Amino acid sequence: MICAIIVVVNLKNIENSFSRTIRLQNSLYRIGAKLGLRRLAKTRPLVILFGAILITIVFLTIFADFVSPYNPLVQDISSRLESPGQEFLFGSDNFGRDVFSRVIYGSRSSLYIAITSVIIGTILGTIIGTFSAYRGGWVDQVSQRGIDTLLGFPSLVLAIILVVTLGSSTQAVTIAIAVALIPQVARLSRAHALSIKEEDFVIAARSIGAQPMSIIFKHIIPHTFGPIVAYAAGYVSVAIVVESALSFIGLGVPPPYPSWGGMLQEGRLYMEVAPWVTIFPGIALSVTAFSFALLGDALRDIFDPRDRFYNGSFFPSGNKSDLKEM
Amino acid sequence: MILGFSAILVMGLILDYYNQVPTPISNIPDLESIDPNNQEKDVDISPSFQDDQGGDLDDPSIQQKRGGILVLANRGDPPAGFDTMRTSSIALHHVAGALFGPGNLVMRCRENMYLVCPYLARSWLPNPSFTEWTFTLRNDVFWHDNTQFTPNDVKFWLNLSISGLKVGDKIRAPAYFEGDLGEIEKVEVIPPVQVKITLKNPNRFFPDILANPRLKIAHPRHLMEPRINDGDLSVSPLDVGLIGLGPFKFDNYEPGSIMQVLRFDNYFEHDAGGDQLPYLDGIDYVIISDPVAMDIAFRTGRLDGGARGFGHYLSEERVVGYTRDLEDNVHFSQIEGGTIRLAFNVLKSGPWQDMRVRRAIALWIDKESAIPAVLGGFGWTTPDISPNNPFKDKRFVVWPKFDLAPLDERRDEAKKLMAGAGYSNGFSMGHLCRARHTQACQFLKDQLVGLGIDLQLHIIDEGEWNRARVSLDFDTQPGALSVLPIPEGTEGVYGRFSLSPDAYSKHEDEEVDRFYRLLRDATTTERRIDIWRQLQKYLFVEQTYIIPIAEATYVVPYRTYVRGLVIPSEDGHTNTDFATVWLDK
Repeated sequence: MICAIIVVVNLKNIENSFSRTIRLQNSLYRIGAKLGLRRLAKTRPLVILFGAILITIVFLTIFADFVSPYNPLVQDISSRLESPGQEFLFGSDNFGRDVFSRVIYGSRSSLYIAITSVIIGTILGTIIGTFSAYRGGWVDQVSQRGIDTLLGFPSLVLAIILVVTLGSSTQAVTIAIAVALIPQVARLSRAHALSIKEEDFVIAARSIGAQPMSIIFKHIIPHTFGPIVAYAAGYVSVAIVVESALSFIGLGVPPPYPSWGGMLQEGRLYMEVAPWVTIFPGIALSVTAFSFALLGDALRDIFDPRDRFYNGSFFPSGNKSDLKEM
Repeated sequence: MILGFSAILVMGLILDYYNQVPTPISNIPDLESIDPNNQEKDVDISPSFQDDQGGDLDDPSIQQKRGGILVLANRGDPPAGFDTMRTSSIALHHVAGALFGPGNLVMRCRENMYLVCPYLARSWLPNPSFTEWTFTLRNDVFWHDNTQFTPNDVKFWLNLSISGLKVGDKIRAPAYFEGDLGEIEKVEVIPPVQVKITLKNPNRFFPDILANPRLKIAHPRHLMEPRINDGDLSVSPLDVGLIGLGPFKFDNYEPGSIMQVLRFDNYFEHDAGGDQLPYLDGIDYVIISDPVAMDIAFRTGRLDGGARGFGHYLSEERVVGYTRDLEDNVHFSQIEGGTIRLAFNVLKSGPWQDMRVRRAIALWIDKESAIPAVLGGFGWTTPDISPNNPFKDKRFVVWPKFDLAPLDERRDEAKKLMAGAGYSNGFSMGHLCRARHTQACQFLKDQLVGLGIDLQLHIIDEGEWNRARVSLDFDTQPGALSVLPIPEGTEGVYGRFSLSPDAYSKHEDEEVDRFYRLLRDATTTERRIDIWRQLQKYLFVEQTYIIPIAEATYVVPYRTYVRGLVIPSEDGHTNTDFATVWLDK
């Protein structure tokens, strides 16, 4: 009797568990469908692969304190330039520091600087570009000439100028990369805002006496959001590379704190006898930058309706539910 | 005293006659010495004038081959308009030796850098009180535009160095080495070929100071004076076409790429066989700021020699690659180099003002570890003066070897001292860190963690370094200036801040003054040894103003067919003229 009850209860639990799993699966499926992941998986499987890698990197970054086997700053001269093995997964560097731990902690520097600078640059660039487009006239002319000037400098050169001026620090590098991004986002947001500001709903808002700032923030920016987010996500890869380049030339994260660019710089003197000191941060840098670039592409596909009409088919999956995604 | 002076006078006359004989000027001060060459016997002079690979440069049976272009790497573009008054950067002085010569009136002898040899001057004589030095110049020296070199050129150069210029609102600052020359009261020309330099205070080591290879005459009066008179006070050697007095004349310079010099046919130096120097047709200095790029260029046969300069000197790991690719076709020259130090600014408030704290730090640091970690495997621990220095090996037996107890014992003692000073929980301390020396800074930071000290690295570029190191803004600094290889030459870096702003450690300890006064007044070498030993103990142990950690051995690669190289025992700025080099291929 008791056994029967246990079996029934367990079956009930199993059933509940199963139904919960199904519900979760359906939810994820719906979210995936909404984000266009199914289509992405079908058309761009690499995006899913590198997305998963990116999630892993972000996870390692967040939980670096628990994942890293060693303190990335502690030197052990007797263990310098040890090859990868059981003791040091990625080998050790010139000071006997664990390369694996430094790669993981280095991701903190790289991702923190890249993501923070992109957020700052995107917000400021969007506001400047949208405001410039909305106001038009001399405001637009002046701001666009300023942006033209900034666009004349390659991102890295502009960042170097700013870091040299501000002094080498994490904050300075973040600001430098953000400033390099601002003109690009401003130009993009202005282009979108110029067309949106002529839309009926904007004219309607203006006709009922809405304030310009209210129109900009409530009506225009939300409609330029998609392409800008897609661009910004892609730019994270550029920001990572710029941060690494700055660290490589000694203008980024100051030693002994690890950063991928700094590790590449330190390791290149030992390339022949200890290639692992350079190879692993190099791989981490490449994979992360590539992942963000693909993420940017994927987001652009999701946010850009024109991409859904490829191959001459209005509903690429042959499913009308695609219409809802639009 | 009179006897000593007479001996010096006789020596001067003899040298005036044999004007090419190396002069152990640094030994003149020993007034008890009757034999003017007595001191020469005390130092370890190489038996012959040998090149870096053991070839005897004075051996007439060796037939040096003339011609060919030597291709060397240079660490970077020579800064400051090639002005030797403005910078001691090795990126300039590696090139400047060929253009402007290895010295000025005097030079460090090629066969023994611890002696002073004639260069543009044939001879020199002090007055009995060592306040006047009279130099007799050679009459066969020409600038590269074939203008005769005269005593007026020397007067122009010295005045420009020690006083600078001021015309209206415009100012030309004196040379950075102004302080090293001491207080020069006046420079007089005694026609036709003599210059008399009058000092405010006696200086028996004036020729030793002049022999510093950084003090190159790169300022032709006949070209610069008109420009200065026209108001161009900041005129640099580059502005007047790099007209020098060295064995090679300027040919071509493409910034960031290459600097080329050609043999100067009117150069005055000759080898032992009477053949005119230099042997080479010219030198190409390929500007390579990246040491890895230099390695690749060298190993693929595009360079005959490496660059001088920290970062470009080879490490053990890099030597492996050279030897693997080139086997016996590469030769590694070794030069004793700069010391890694930790110097305290005790004029700034902080725990480091407590001598126990400084001493604890000195005891705590594992100096042996610095050699592989920072110096690429080539170095020595705790010297103050290079191991090759004859003053150390022979009579200045001053290899300090302080703190010889095992590391564990030293560290126990260090912890006790920190606890006694009330800092058992440690503290935070700033450190000036030159951007190009971050490895040493990282090493120090890690070392001090165990003592609870959080060393905050302030990583600075060369401009900020030049400002900050003479200020009182910092807590600690590495100390990076090279000094003369004699005890008296170290006051600029160990003296009181008010007298020596460039000193490694900033202090106002008058006891240090007293030691230097004693050194200046010492009349025997034994006395100098004794005082120097006491001073070192005072500086490094009793007060621990400075902690010498390790000294580098600079390793420079040359192809084995590069012959006649004169590699100095220490100081990579020495012998950069390459006048005796020839290519055996």
